[in-house]
Amino acid sequence: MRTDRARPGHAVLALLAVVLLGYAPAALTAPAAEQPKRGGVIRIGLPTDPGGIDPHILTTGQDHRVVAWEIFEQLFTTDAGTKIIPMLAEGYTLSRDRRVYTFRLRQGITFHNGKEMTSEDVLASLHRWVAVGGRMGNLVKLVADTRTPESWLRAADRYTVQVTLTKPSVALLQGLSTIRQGAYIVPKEIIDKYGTRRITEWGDNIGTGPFRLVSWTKDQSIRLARYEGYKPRSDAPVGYGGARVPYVDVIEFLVIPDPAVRAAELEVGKIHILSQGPVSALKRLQQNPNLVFVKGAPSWYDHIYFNLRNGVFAEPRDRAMKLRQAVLAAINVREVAQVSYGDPALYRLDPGYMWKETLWWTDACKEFYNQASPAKAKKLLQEAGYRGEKIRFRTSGDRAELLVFTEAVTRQLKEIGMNVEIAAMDYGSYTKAWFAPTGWELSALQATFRDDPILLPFWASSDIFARPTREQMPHLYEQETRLITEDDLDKRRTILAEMQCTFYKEALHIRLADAFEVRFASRVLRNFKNTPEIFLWNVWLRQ
Amino acid sequence: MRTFLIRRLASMLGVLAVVAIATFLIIFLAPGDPAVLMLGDQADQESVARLHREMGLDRPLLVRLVLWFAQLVRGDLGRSIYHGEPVLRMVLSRVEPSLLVALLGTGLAVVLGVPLGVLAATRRAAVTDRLIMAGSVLGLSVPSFWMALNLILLFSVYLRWTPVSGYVPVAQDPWETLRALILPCVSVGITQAAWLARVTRSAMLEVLLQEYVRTARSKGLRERVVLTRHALRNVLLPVVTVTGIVMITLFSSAVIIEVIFGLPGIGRLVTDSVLRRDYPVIQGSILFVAVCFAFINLLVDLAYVYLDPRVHYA
Repeated sequence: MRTDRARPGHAVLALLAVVLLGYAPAALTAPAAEQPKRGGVIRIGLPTDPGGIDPHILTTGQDHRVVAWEIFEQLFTTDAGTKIIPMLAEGYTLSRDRRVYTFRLRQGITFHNGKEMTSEDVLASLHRWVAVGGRMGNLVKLVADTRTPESWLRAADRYTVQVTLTKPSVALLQGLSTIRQGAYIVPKEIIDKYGTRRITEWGDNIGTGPFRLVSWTKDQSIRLARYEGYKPRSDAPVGYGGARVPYVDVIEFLVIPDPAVRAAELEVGKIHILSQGPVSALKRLQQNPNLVFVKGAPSWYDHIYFNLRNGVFAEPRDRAMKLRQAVLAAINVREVAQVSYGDPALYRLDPGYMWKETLWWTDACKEFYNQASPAKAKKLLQEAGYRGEKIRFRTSGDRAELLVFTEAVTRQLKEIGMNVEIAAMDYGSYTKAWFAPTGWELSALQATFRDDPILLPFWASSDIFARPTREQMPHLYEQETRLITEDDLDKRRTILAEMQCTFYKEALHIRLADAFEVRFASRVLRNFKNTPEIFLWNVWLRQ
Repeated sequence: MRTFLIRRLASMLGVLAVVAIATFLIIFLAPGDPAVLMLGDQADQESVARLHREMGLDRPLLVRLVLWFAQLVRGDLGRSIYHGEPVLRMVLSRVEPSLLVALLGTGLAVVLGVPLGVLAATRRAAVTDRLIMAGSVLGLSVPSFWMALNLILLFSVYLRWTPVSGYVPVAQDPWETLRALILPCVSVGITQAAWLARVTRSAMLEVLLQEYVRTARSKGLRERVVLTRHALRNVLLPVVTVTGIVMITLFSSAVIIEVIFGLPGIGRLVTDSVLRRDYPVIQGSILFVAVCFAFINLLVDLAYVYLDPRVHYA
């Protein structure tokens, strides 16, 4: 057994990334020397009610995470540069063959129902997390025998958990720390009650986090209160990790569907944080001395899927590749982004499939990004012998941001002579169409911020958007398997750069610009950080 | 009268059954999948299938229809797929804000629209008439969402007199309820008042040309008595009909106003549920609105008897 708690290599890389990329979440709203104060209510405007916050299941978006994130915790979390650091775990050891992880739990941690967290809760939580599926859980299934809890999990004692994999993989640690569909720890009795069904009674959302859920009026408000039994870690706060101290008494999430009205509520001081605000209010809010523009990391990037299983972009292989390359060559990303977001403060051009704010960022094969070369595109079309076959471009009509970039890209493709036809559907119908293997050639979507490349939704093993079969493109599956099973950070970074280059060279996907949401915070909030995910521990109110 | 009531109630049941079946079929013929909507771009076949089983969506359409009707007979509207709560509880919790917007909005429309309509009719072709009619065209043309946003900007953001959005139940603080409802009711009331003013004016003009009005005037009655006793009562029939429509429209379809002001009303429940493909809530709330619609129509019909002695229901 060797101790592998704080890999020095990781720390150096994290530091390097921060220094080189100039990104570190800063406290936006407080002088460094200010004394924290307890008390008060923080209010946040949400566009929609998240419905439920079962931490193992739902992923629909920020509205779900921003609430769940204050209530539930994981064994691990990440620092600002997405390096994995312990949270509910003290640390871990890894066996020599890199298959057996032994996690030591922090002692004296209680759930919001007062019960102490022990190995049995962790075992039940980890098994449910994998059993309910989801991208992360499914990756763990590839590297562990998860048929029963006993086949991969063991409680060595009350505070020690052992996890056995069938082969070395980074998927486990990544899953234990990732925010979306991560392995959050909930009491065993809740899992006994629900099994793999969604937690539907709001009172059953019990975690170990700094705030507990006290009321939920559907489609109106969600109220959290400081958990008085919370024991912060003793190490200094860093990124999402270290000591989490709940200073405010109450966090209230108010459902305010209209973005202009959410902005108005921020201006009159009813809410303290505005997320997903209207672009039209950007300038006005920027001029307000009581507010600060929270530009942490991009919330998403716009991207376009090719149908790689059927149609002109799939078969015959050589011609299909030339056609895809023509599309990639034609697109002027800056123009599309300007049309979509209007203000350069809200977008950023970047070739990296992983965001600049992560340890993973690479600009490998950047020459294929934003080529904006209609001449090259036309030549490629000619070489492919394109005869004006219809390209059906699927998008959603009721998500304005998707429709706008679809239209901008369509215009550029029409200019090089492609016969593109937009098929706009309501978002509900569109999500159903994600699983359709035929009937479309291009599909528009947004990839939201992820902390590990295996979570990107467009790799070959993804179930949506007609990814190529193993027979069609075996090399993609081989690369992806290596990315999942390799557990050395440097090697994984190299594999990601390789995959990114394959995607660019073979034009398997179109990445457009990063988009920053219109997120503002009131200066009444102190020590509020500009991290990609909003969190409210360690934040206090000016009094 | 009793026979009439029994017949009307029986026909209402028939209408509701048709509404129930039509809603069920239309919803299930529409594409879209609540499971994928919940899971987002990390959806995989296995999780989707598991959620389908949990929601009962893996059963054949006919089986689901029969099960739903069996539930309905027991007075159970099912559970929301999205929120996990009983549909009836969700619908009932949305009645208060919708009902108050409908009542106060309609009240404002009647108080403003009817007198202005009468005034315009009595000053036909004069400056007052033209001003009122121009105002009503403007009131009808200005979209209520635009008016709502401007009212918020003026009264909530600049003057800070009213809250921007949100709702406080009457039981909690009636004064705050009223404050929260002022702007929404004005936003919808103005448009409806403009419509009522036009309806009242044209009905009044027609009545004023009737012989009994001429007779009343020739008897030497004062103009006010002619208008209120003889003309207005006859104008009320079309006005009551329109008021009924206004009320049910505001109750069930003031979606945009509910979204802008963050009011948890019926209209928002229906549209949110459609976007989420929350089938049980869509079915339940549409059925509920249909029941309300039928009852308000019945009340309007009964009001005819009271307002016009010539109307009889055998």
